[in-house]
Amino acid sequence: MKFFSKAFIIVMFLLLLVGAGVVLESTLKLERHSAQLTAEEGSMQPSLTAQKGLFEDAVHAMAFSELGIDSGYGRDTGKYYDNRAYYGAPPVIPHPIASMNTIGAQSCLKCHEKGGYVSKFKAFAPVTPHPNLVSCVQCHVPVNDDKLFAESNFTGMGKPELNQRAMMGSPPVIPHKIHMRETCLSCHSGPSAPSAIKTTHPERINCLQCHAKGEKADEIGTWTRSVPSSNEEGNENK
Amino acid sequence: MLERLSELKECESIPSQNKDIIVLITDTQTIEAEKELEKELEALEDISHLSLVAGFADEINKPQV
Amino acid sequence: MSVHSISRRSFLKQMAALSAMSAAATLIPGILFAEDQIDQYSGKNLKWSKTPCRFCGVGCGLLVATKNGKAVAVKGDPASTVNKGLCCVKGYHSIMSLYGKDRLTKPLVRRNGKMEEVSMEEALDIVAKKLKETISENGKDSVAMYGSGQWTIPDGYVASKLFKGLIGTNNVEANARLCMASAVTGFLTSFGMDEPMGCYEDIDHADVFILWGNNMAEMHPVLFSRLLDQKLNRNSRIIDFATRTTRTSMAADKSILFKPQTDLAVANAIAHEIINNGWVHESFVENHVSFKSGLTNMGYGLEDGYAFKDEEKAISFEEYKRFLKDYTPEKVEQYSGVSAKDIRYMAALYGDPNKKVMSLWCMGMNQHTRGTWINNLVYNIHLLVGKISTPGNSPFSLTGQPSACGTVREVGTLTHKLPYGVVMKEEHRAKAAEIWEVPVENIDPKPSNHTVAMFRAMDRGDIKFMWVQVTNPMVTMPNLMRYRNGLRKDDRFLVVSDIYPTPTTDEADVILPSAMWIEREGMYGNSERRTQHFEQLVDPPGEAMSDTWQLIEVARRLGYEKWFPWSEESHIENIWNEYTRFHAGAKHGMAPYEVLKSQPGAIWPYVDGKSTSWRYHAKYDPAAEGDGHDFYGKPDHKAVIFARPYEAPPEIPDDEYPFWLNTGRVIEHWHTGSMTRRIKVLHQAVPNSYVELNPDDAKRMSIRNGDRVKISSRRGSIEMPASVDERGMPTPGQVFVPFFDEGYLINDLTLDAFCPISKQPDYKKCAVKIEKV
Repeated sequence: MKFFSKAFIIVMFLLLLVGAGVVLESTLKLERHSAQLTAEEGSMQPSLTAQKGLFEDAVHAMAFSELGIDSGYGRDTGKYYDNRAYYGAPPVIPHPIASMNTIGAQSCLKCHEKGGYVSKFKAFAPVTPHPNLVSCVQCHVPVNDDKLFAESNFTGMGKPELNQRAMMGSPPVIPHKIHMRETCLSCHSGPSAPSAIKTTHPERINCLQCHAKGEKADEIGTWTRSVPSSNEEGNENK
Repeated sequence: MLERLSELKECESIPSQNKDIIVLITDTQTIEAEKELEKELEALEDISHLSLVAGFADEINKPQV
Repeated sequence: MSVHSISRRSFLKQMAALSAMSAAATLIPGILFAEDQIDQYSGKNLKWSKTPCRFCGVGCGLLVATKNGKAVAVKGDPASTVNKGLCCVKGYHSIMSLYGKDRLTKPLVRRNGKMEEVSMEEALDIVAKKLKETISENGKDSVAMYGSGQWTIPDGYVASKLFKGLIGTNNVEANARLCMASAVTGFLTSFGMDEPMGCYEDIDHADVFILWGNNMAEMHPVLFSRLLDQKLNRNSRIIDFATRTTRTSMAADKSILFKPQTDLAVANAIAHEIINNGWVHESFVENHVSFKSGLTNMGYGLEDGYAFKDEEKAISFEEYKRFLKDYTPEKVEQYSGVSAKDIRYMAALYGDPNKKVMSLWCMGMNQHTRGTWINNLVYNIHLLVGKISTPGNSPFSLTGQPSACGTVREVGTLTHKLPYGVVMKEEHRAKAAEIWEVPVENIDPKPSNHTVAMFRAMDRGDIKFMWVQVTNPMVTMPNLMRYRNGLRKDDRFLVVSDIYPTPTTDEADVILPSAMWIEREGMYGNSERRTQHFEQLVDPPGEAMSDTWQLIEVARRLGYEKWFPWSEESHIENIWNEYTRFHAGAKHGMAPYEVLKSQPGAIWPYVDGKSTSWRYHAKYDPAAEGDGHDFYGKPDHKAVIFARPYEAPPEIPDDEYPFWLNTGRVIEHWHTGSMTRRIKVLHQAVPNSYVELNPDDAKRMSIRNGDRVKISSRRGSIEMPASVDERGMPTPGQVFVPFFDEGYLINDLTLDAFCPISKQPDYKKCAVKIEKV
């Protein structure tokens, strides 16, 4: 009996070790993969993310469009905002997750980096616009209770108006900040894109060529020329 | 065929310039009218394939598929 | 931002249409829907007319919709092979530039220090009178005309005929001297004729695109999108060879950074490698190339009265090879910041016989104290491997302005040029005299002042009257303070034709309101030799008058009615017919007026009803002899490989001024911003200028994004906000400032050194210091 149970325990440990080894191996593989994605981000090095996001993974991004069409009509902006406490908030995780002790590369990014249909949730996974940030649960948390602790008076900032064009036919301006939304195609193309903002031309890639940044529009207003008072030397100091 | 489509009251068509594809926007007042229209379209011989890409409901809360 | 008030139902229908088209595009790539089908939903019936874009040298075809006398919408012209219906953010908002609230609508004259409104008649009288007086008191060379690469072709032609053919002065210059002169002299020295031998269609064939010092993603965006298209569909490669990391670097397959000015050395090192590895196209070089050298240690034009004339000397291929021994990749690595490996990488791309290579460049190579040389050196590379004048093999000099080619270079509004040829050659003067019907003695055979010299002459008082049209030198002249003070001196009379108040109109004695772009009929010529016509689509506001007609009115008041007899209705056509006589023939024939009106442009040489896409090769060019290459611009029909060395710039960072200052642009703004800043969308995207710092430099100096810093050179200083890690990243020891903001006159700091051959100033290199404020 004693021998048998000892052997059993040893076998169990062996299995556990083997299991751990396998997990470790695949973790390392995934880490390396994610390291490649974020090679230059590693130690929070600045690196023109807004410019890079346009082009990085452009080939990937085209693949979003090829994932298919959501015949269930898919997400609309209502559903999009349902997951967010206010416009601009990081969305909550609307589906159950296995554990909070993960780094994105091992878990979240498996679905949310490149998108795809998840039959378990009968939905196309939304694609993250900031795959370079891998500590997902730092900002995105699950919904573990449907009751409130106490009521609140908070109302967030209004949603931006869609379709803000200077003239009929003009390319709409970008009403949101670009920070952390550098890979345009992740939200604006593919089956998980909210249909109201889906682009008809994802293959053009260089979005900032036509779509101007407009999130500070009201703050900035229009330009009026201030005529300089007569200068002798001429340094136009402000 | 474009002519026949333009005859149908509830249809507006956007033909492609370079492929044999037409985007057809249908605008019907009731679900029954929509079903009728669908039957009419399916009866058209020249259409080899008809697929619904997006549906929007104005009055009702839930979108139809 | 106003959204059309359309019903919810229409909005839904629009959404449905868009979804369906998007789905179709997914299933069937390349599918096209006529976009104006969507307009049906807003229930408008608009008149769409074609025009080239007002802005850059790409020359996109646009369609502008007018309603009730106003331009109301704009989209890309799908029929244009240049942009195939795509624009950039400036093009898509271009028509808004007509409607700024402070648009100049009435002439203004300075009296007792104040600007007073006068009628156009009176203003033109004043201009003509002053012109006449100045000439009679101080001679014909005391007056000057300063025009622009944004002049339409008729504007430039009339200016040239008036000043060169009738008044008889060669003081005719244009701002294209500041952007394309080195490209021109590069072409003339290497090939004997101006403008690219290839065209945009090369993009559809090239396997490799090598960009030499230009941020093409922002500066020629629509062409860059065509490059991206090729990258996506044919796996073409984009190499960004530059002094700064930009959006272009992010899109490129490889970004290679080099130290300012060392492009000269790297180009020679690439040539060295090509020869060393036996990649030379021997028979091509044997039959179509000759070798030359020129003078060195030429100086930098910093002194008034600086004069330089190059002396070309024939050399042998062997001598050229020996010259290149100083440019091994290992040697060049020492001072260029480019590894020998990367030099070899680039050389291998050029040298691979199975790869078609297109080189593209703009201001990085042209605004350069050795600009002519670096243009020669890139041509050298293409000539050594025979990759030229065939589809996809193309050293392509991109032009910045919409008509620097069409007007300044082809009409010849530069001190030494005539519409055909140069003032120095008797047969060229004879031709002009014949077509203009003036005595040949009227045309001065000596070039007088290039742009920098012209403003220096104004400062000294040798020029007392200057007429400026369609440009803003009080923001763009290098070493600006000198020239601003010069214009302000007594006894200097400045006439400025413009559409908005600018720092240049601030200095004017007479301001003439101009009709802009589609407010008058005209033509532009873009980078790929394409001339495009546009009708007048809307009326100019108030008393605004086209620059062409202003010149004609003044010419008539000077007594030259006989040479400018045309009516307002047909003068543009008449001018075109007279002008094109200069270029008749297979080498430069221009398309007839009716052809230009009916299609989105035609490429010259336009021969027997057809545009010539590739020049200097008999397969494509009716002017070429034989059955292969023929560089007929040169008397011996051979292109020239020039042995040009590396020479350092005149002002290098030192202990006192330790940073390089580089100036340039952003996609949202055109030049000095007088048009684009008045377009709300563009202003709100980039509201002010800034100084871009390298993040490590910024950290070391405790400067954060948005902090105020003082940037100073030996000539001036400004305080401005810092930008760190936003649009671009200079290398350590370098800063970058865009020049679109008249509130931060960065040209107070720049240096007016120029390429001795082209006389084009170098806006990309001088020394500054940065201090936190």
